[in-house]
Amino acid sequence: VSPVTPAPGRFETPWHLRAYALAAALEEAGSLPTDALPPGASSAAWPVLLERLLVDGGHLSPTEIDAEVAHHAARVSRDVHP
Amino acid sequence: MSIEHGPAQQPYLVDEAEVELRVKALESLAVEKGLVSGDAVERIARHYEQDVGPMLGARVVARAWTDPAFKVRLLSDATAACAELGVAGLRGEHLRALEDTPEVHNVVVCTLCSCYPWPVLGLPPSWYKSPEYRARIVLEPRRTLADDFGLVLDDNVVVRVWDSNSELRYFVLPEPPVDAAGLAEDDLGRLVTREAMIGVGRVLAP
Repeated sequence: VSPVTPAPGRFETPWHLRAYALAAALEEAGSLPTDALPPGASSAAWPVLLERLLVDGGHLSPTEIDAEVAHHAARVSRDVHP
Repeated sequence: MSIEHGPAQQPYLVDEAEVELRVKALESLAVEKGLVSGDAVERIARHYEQDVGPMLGARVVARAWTDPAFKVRLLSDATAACAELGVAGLRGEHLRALEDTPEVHNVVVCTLCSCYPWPVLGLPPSWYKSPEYRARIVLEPRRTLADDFGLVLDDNVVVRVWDSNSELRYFVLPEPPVDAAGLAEDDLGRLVTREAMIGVGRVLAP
């Protein structure tokens, strides 16, 4: 599926998995270079690395990322149970 | 955005909630801009979910199908029975197995958030966490199973919806497939899907 194969149990949280899957899918689609997330990279660093690659590659701007984060945050706050 | 650097000078975000939001935002923007398809992300995530999780629950189910004494232990104390097979860990401290029968179909949700038996089923799928699933499976379970998952149940089958929480996490012991007699435990395990153990799907045919 991806040039980088995590060992079972590597994903500690759901976002680790989503970040990894997004990077692998972007590599597969040719939107990011192979090894966008180098095997030596800490999983905690994946989101920042991904964001930088997408911004540096001209795919996304910091402004629209921040706006999208705010959009998701608003959805979460509406969904929080007392 | 608050960024720090780890021991290997790798940047990381400090706030877990923020990092989760940023990953979601990157994914939705990447899909929106056509950089990647949502299906591709889901397929890859699912691959790793399957590798790191549901096959363990499938082993538990297959053992219960082939070992009546284990099945009794599983239904009376799922946490201890799973531990017999080495299936245990964080977010699996209090497990309960729900037995499907020809008369009763069980389905699991977490209406509060996304409580899920990680050691048995791996990471929760994204739809399990969605507000739509969490509301609809409670309000109209039979219709949700049919419309969203293609699982049509006979009218005479009772549907029971179980609300997982951080203190008690449910999973389903589905009925074994017909014509499975004589299959080895490993072969039976390959017929058990994540969806069947949540209660939104059936096991595969041999």
